[in-house]
Amino acid sequence: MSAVRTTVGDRMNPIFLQAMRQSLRGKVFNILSFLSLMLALAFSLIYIISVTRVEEAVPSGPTYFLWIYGALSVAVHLFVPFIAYLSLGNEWDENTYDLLVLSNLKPRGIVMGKFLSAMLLTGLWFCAFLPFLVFSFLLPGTDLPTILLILTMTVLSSGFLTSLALFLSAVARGRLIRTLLMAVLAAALCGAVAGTIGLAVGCIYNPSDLWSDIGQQLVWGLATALIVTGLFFFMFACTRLTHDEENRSTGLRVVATLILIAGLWWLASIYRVSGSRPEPLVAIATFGILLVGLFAMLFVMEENRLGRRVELEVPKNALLAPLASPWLPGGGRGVIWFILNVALVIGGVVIIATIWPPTSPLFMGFSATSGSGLEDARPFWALALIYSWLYLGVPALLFRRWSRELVFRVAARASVFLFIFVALLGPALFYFLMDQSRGDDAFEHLGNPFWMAAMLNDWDGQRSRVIGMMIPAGLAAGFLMALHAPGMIRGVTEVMRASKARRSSQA
Amino acid sequence: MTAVLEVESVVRDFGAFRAVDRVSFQVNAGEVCGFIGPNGAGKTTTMRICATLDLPSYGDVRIAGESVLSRAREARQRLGFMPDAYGAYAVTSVADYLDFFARAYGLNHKERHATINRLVDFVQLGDMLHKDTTDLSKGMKQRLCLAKTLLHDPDLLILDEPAAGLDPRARIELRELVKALGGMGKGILISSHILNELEEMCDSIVVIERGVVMTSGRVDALSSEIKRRADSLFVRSLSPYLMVERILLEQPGVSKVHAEGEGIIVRFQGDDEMRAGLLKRLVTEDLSIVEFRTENVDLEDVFLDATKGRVQ
Repeated sequence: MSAVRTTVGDRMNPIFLQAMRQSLRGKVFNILSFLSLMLALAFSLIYIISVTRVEEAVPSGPTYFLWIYGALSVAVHLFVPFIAYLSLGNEWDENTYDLLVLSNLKPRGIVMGKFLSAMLLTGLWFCAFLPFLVFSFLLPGTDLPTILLILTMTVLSSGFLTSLALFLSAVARGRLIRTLLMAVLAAALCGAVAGTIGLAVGCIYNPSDLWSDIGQQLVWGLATALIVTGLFFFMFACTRLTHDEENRSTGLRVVATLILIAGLWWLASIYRVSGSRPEPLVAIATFGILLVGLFAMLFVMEENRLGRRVELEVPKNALLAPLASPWLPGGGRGVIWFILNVALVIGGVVIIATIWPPTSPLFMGFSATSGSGLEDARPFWALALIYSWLYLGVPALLFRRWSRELVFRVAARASVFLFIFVALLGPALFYFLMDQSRGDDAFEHLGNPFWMAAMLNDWDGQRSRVIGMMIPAGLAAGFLMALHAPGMIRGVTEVMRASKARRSSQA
Repeated sequence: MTAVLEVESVVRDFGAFRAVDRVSFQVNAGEVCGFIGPNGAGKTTTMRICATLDLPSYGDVRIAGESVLSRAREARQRLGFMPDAYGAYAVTSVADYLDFFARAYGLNHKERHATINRLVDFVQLGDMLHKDTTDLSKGMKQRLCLAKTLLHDPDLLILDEPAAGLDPRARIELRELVKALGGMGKGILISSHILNELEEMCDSIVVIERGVVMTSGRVDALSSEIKRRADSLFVRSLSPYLMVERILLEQPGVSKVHAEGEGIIVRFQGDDEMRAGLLKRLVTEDLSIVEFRTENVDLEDVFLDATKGRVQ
């Protein structure tokens, strides 16, 4: 038995052990756990006093559960992620990060250790609150499966928020930025506490909605979203801890593709539950393309060349090397990743619609279309594709020359949002500054895809006009893709060259 | 001798700025090599590259034969790096600190206990095992960090300014530890601003300035070389400095003269006969000479000779 304990002890993540030792011995955890338990105890006492003072009062389990859940939510949605944020931040403050890098620990092991220790704290808090939760279940009006589902979702959301906190902590190494991000995180966590309590209120008082088909789909969707987005933040934190010259991109690219696949899976289940109506397919596929654009913003702005250490990770196989290209770091390869993942989203939707054909035409505006369902969705997808690429491709092209410098890569990503802002509001601002009143006309132009999407919905019968307007935008997007083509070709040839070098060095 | 560190034409560019320019040198097993240079010379950048924490733009570094580029993980197993800003976790005892890093290096239960006990004895922290790391003095923290660096028994130690901020006693203790480690066959690359500290423990030195190696080699060989090219003579006279300087500069073999403390340092190239002639001339010129001797060449002379006094 002791041999097993020793072996398990040897294999445990050292960061996890260290963070646990620090947390349990440190003041922060002890004070916070004392405060939250006192809060729960106070709630219980107030509750018991209030129900016993009112004659014939019927103890209400849901109300008591929500009070206790509120205290638990503060602990696991606010304190736990915040402690994780501080814990990773301390590695920079205490100059220990370099020492960790030199050990056998990889960035993933470091982030995993911090994550696991936070999750253990969540577990400890759950254990501390267990007597109160059991008491709430013993009171009338509570439903055990609903409580268990809420608590399971609470663990997932705590994990998601911890990943977010670790990501923010990994991004901010300077004290000033870290302080600013700490404020942002605190606000986000307070919002999350309020949101989870709100959801718990909805679930505990309307359990029938929760256990309906659509309710279950939403729960599965939310759980999937929390897991995959949390995984993305986790991977992002790992990449931030990796050296500039090492591979900081492949993990993120793979996780982003996995998120899209998970999204498609969820889409398929929602589509089936909705009776194979085409609207979810159209809406979520359009959103999926925009999501690909958002992810690609990270990859397209990267420096084009492979790092010296990444060259040594390229597959030796001459066939695998070009296939792996879209998932290797580099701006040109990021554009290929964008194209492939847009194809994945559209292809996935088409496959779903082929397996389970839509049972009704697409409902657009105030009437159903005459098409068979997905035919009318194509302009929406084209619009999403054209504009996500234009907003992404133009800043990437402008900043490509300086992509070696981090500051310019950050500027390029920030300029995407600036570009969107100018494209959407530029004409309105111009008219405003020129003191010309154009009313809504100022927002009805080629640079505003949201207006175009609304018009595609056939409001005011402008669908054909907007489709006509999309042609020049599509041509511009095609031209932009042609300008990016040399970068893409260079990206693939560089990978093939590195693969060849590896083969020849092995020979 | 086996080379444990081979730095091969390393270049490190930060944008347009070249911090390290074609730096090459090597450190053998059992050799203590001083890495000397003014602030901003590229010492820390080079050391971080050697420690796999940074990558060269060109060139390569091998740690016991393992390239920091292609086999960084293997290289890390063979090196121990002590940064200038050493890290210590808060709310962590000395034992837990060492246990944590021993686990991080993959040592199993038995190895951890044996290694930690051996190392705390070596760095003389045996009675501090349960003390919080934040309560240790700076010298103790430095010794704790050295113990951490030795946990996985590396072949090469890279110590970046280990004596900075230490009191004289802690410096002496550290120097003794470094000498002992050299005696154990470990290659050591150590940087410091305090040249006389290095002189007592280094077998060889590398002098770097503005990212370029100015000179490198064994300390005794470099001293002999300087001595061969020119001796430093120390002259103390009661006569006015300017008069002594004028007469000295007129003499054959004298290349440079400057005041230092109460005396004058004379760069002189010549044999004993010429030296005797110089003294005779000073006496016949009726200068009141109270001291005339040959200065020993120390690390400072080597450094100044290598950098030609261009230190910023």
